Amino acid sequence: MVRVKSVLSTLTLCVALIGYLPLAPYLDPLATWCFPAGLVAAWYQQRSGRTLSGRILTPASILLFLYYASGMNRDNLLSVTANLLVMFLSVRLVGEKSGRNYLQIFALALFCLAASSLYNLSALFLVYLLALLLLLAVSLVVLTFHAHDADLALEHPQLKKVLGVAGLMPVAALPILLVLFVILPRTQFPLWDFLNRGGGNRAGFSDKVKPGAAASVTEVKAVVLRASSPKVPENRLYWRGIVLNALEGNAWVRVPGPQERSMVPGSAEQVRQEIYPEPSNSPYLVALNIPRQISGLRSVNEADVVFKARAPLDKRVKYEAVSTLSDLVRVNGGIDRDFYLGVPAQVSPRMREAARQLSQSGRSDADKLRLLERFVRSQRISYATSGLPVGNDALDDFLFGKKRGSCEFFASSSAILLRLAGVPARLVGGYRGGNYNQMGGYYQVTEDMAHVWVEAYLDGRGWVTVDPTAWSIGFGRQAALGDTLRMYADALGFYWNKAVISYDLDKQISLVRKAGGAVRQLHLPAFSLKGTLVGLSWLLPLGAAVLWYLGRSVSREERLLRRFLRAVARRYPTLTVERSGLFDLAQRTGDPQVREFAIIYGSALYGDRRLQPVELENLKRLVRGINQHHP
Amino acid sequence: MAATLLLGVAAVNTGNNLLFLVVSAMLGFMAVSGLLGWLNIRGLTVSVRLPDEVYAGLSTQLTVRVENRKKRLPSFLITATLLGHPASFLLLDPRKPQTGSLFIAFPARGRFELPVALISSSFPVNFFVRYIRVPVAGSVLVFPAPRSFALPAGLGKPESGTAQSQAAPGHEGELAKISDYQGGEPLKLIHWRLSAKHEDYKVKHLTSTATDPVLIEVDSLPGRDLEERLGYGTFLVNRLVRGGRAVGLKLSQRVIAPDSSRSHRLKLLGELALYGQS
Repeated sequence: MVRVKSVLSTLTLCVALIGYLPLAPYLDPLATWCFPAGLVAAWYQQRSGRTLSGRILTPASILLFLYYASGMNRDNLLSVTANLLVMFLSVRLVGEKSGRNYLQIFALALFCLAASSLYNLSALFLVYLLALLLLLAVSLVVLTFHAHDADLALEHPQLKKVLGVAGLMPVAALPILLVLFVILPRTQFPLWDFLNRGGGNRAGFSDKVKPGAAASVTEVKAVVLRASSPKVPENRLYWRGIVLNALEGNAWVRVPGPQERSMVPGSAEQVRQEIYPEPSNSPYLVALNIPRQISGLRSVNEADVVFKARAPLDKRVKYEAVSTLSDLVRVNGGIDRDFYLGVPAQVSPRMREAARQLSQSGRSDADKLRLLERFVRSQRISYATSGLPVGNDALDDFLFGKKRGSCEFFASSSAILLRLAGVPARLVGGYRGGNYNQMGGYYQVTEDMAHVWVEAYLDGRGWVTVDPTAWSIGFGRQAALGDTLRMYADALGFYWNKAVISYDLDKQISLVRKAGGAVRQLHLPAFSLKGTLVGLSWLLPLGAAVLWYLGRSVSREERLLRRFLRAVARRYPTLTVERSGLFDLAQRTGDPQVREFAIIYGSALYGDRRLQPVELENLKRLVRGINQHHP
Repeated sequence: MAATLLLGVAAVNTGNNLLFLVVSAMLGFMAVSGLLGWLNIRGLTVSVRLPDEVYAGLSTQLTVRVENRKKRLPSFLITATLLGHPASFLLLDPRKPQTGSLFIAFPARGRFELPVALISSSFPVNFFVRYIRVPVAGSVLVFPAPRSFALPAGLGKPESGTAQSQAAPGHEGELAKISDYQGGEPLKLIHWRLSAKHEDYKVKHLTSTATDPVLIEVDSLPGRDLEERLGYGTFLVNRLVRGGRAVGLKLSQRVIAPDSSRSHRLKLLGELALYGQS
């Protein structure tokens, strides 16, 4: 025999753990450690049969709430909520457990998992969700048995059957989950977006690049723009948005630069695009690198090939762009070299040394650029979006210490090294890549594709596009056998993002359109008189047979009786009409019409004869009467 | 459900597809649990076994037999309620009937169609209790509630009978005394063997308790109304037949000949149960 209570306690611990795990990396130390302690204490309590009284736990919960609520502001709302959820979960685990308390634990675990989705959008979420769904289903069923009898004990075969049926529920719920996920109504924009600000900064392109400000960047898959264009080679998919030309402390910013007469060569391949940006606060118009011309919107072409809209892009707009797939911006009349050689006040000695070697060994700017590439590659730095170096010496740590970083680190350090070595350099912010929609013939660019690269000025040529991120380990390398697994994981992530994370109103609408189109394309086979006659010759006798059977099986007396019973059931809803005798009904209702019906119908029934037409009419009148007088 | 609503609002507000996934999962789970709850109480048949004697107003033990007619799916936490009295079944395996007991008092005499049984269950999730009405085949004849009263002299059980009842003369009871033939006694009461030894005829005097058949005339019974008279009648029938007396019944137009068998007693009680009802 197995006690239902112990099964329920064990399941509850598992549910709480599944709720906590996805949220754990984003919690304060207090919450991070309180939960494991609570879990161990709950496990001990389960074995010893003791619990902590509510008189201790309720004030503790209030104090915890006050502690976290006191530090709450608009920016850390999510963090405070997540910590509080885990703390409440821990407290609930060690408290007394009634049916209501178990439900509270289940709800808190579910909220914890939901909160984790605001931090991390990885496919691992699906694993946690399915595990929680299974555990919750089984736990709720076991809780129902517990509510029936708290001391209930089940035999092993019985328990097996209960768990088996309970485990079937999430399996059966999966297809419904998929359908609902597709059809649940989406909105064009999040109505209430501040909760979406997770623990890290967004990776989207901004007008300020400051590597070392956060240890991680959150990769948001929200769509930034759609660009209708022919397909271009993958290595040319750089979407230019902004140029950051100056340093402010450790941050790259855009300041009004010197007047230059930039010229985009028209000799290379030209690509025309129609661009539909998602509404945003940024005024910069994005187009394939390097845009020659933007039309359809009032905009200013600034000196460094940056197009800026005159009005904010907070509504849905469209503009056309013509770009040259080139990596060169010529400048007639040269540039203000001094402006582009400014470096931060504090640069680490190791970086200065690296820059000195560049300038000593390289005779020309092009040589220095080649040497920079060799230097960065030799440092064997990995591309990463988490575990990034932080602090004022983040770039030094990136190049010589942790040797990992995002595109901001690669671009920022390379530009500074170039400037230190006497090569004018600036950062270009925009996006790299794009999902090409073959059917629609457009690129979809999402926020996580935000990218920063470098333009170095080479004398005699102009601003040359350089992407130092491409020098990171493994970038562009042919996949080795050992990489197969990673490739699969990447593909899984890609499809996860494609199918789930980026599913939005547009996709919903296009799905509906496709379905509508498919329905419209349905057509009946060509009309054939012979076929129709054959079909009718089958259908007509079949229909006649069905009608005859129905007519035979239910006599008109029986039909009338059913109508009568339905009418009585409607008029006297508290009575159980089925299987009651007619006279019994008449007596219980005290209704003269029911009584009259019973007498007329009964006389025919007990006389074993069919109803006379007059009687039939009378009975119908009575049924109408009963129907008309609803209480 | 509240949690799902909250998450649904959060999902719409944030546009976060993972929240939509959670909400879809919860809604899917609700749909499946609803379906499972519906299936759980479907395919059950209820039958009731009743004792031979059921009296109005007296608590009677009924045996409820519930069978799960589904092919594979067991039914869990089933409660079968008849006339407000529940019988619980933890697990009903397919095609393996189980029985439970109920104590029910029927309110009035007469023939009752057995009421529909209310099958309910909170399985699989204890948020709702689902109900279904299941017909119970058969009917029950409820005898009038017996009303006891002091039996007149000469009635009652012989073993507990009074002196008067033993002294009361009769034709079929036990031998009370033997006396001389007075003339007028029935021939069958003459004790021939004893008479042979004496000069006079000797006559057996039998007690009337077991000998006189009793014909109960319902309309002549005491009582303020018909129901009270029927109650006394029921009591009399039971007491007298159990005491070994032959009892008959005179209803308004009909007479049922006396007899002292059990089946006869049940027949009389049945007549009393239906007396005055169409």
